[in-house]
Parts: sequence; structure tokens; C-alpha cells
Amino acid sequence: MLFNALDIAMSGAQVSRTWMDAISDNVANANTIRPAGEEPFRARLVVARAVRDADGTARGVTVDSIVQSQALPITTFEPGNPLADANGYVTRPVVDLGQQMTDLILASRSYEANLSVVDRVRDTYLAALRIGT
Amino acid sequence: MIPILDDTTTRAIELALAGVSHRQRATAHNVANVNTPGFHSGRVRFEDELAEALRAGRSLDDVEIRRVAANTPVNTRGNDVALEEESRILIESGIQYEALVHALNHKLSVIRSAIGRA
Repeated sequence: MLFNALDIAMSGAQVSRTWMDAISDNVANANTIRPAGEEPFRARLVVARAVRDADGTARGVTVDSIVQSQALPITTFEPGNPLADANGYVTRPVVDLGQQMTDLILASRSYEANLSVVDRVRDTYLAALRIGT
Repeated sequence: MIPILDDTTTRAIELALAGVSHRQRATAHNVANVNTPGFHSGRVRFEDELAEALRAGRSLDDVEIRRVAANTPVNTRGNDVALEEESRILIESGIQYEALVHALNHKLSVIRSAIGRA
């Protein structure tokens, strides 16, 4: 109970980090082309969910699931590409780089926000230790 | 045994300390969920009820620390966490907590001098 606020802030930082991990994987694979007939690389999306105990106690946030983007892949005409299909089309990975970069900003900012909560909450706990001194 | 720390001042400070740390947890929860779709932030209220009970001379046992909805504007993800507002609440409750600790320590020093251990 005492250090609950720290746990809550750390849960937020952890979800942000998982999000950033997923984004870096997506960006790293933004040009990964798979051979014709195989499922293309799909961006991984982190689904967050607020956690609350049955009695209403706040517990922060958790990663509910990680899902793959269901957007339609773009195909480009590259007959010379060894990974192209019989008609000369290459299926590009399903990664929206613009979306990934804005998500990256959101994720790193929310990581920082949670760490600043840790800072502030720590001051309070230090004050609590001064009771009776 | 005479309960020396069961007076209204100490009880009120204790209640306020509990309320403020509750508020910090609620704020930490709001910040942790700043990107959670559909999340609605909460606020902690107790000061009005505590002040009312103190003014009316009622028992502080009935004063409740309540969680209420913040009702801030919702963004496109259905999330209503206002980060700057949460930041303000954190700073404010930190100072409030320190002030309460100060008040409690003052009260304790009064008791100490009363028992001749100033």
C-alpha cells in the first residue's frame, strides 16, 4: 500500500517501454519484403488496459494484448525483384512509418511523464519519513 | 491509558495525510493511463467534507475520501487525461503533504513539551 503510487508509475513506464520496443521492431522491418505467397510483415500494436482491483483500488496500467495491424498491404510492380510473384508484384510490409513515428513520440513522452511521477511521489515518501522527527 | 494522540487536530491531520496520498495514487494511475484508449481520469475529494465536519464539530469517523470523475474533455482515443493538470495536482499534493507533516510534527512537539521533554 505504502509504495503503491511508485508501482503505478512504474506500470505506466513499463507499458510505454513495451510500446517503444514494438515500434522499434516495426520500424526496423519497414522495408522487410517476404517472398511471394507468404504473409507480409505486419506492424505490432500494443493494446493498453487500465487495471483496477475489485474494490476500486487503482493499480495502473498493463499490456492487454499485442495485435497485428490488419491494414491492407501495398503491392508494387517490380518484375526484376526475386521476391516478386508471377505477375511481377512485390507485397510491401504493413508498416505506416508516419504513424510509427508519432506513436514513438507519444510513447517516449508518456515514459517521461511516469518517471516524473516517480520523482514527485518520492518526495512525499521522504516527507512521511520525517513524521515525529 | 489516556489516548494522547486521539484529539481532533491529530485525527484531522491523519485523515488529510491519507487523503493526499490517495490523491497521489489516483494521479499516478491517471498518468500511467495517459495513452489507454477509453480511459477516464479520476479525482480524489475529501477537503470539503473534512472542513464541514470540523466546522460543525461532527465526528471525523464519517468523513469519506471519495473518488470522482474528472470530466475533462475527451480526446480522439476516448481518453480524458489532462497531463498538465495531473502534473499540477502532483506538485500541489506534494507540498500539501509536507505541510501536513510539518503540522503533525508541531503538534507532537507541543505534546513533548507538555510531558517535559521539550
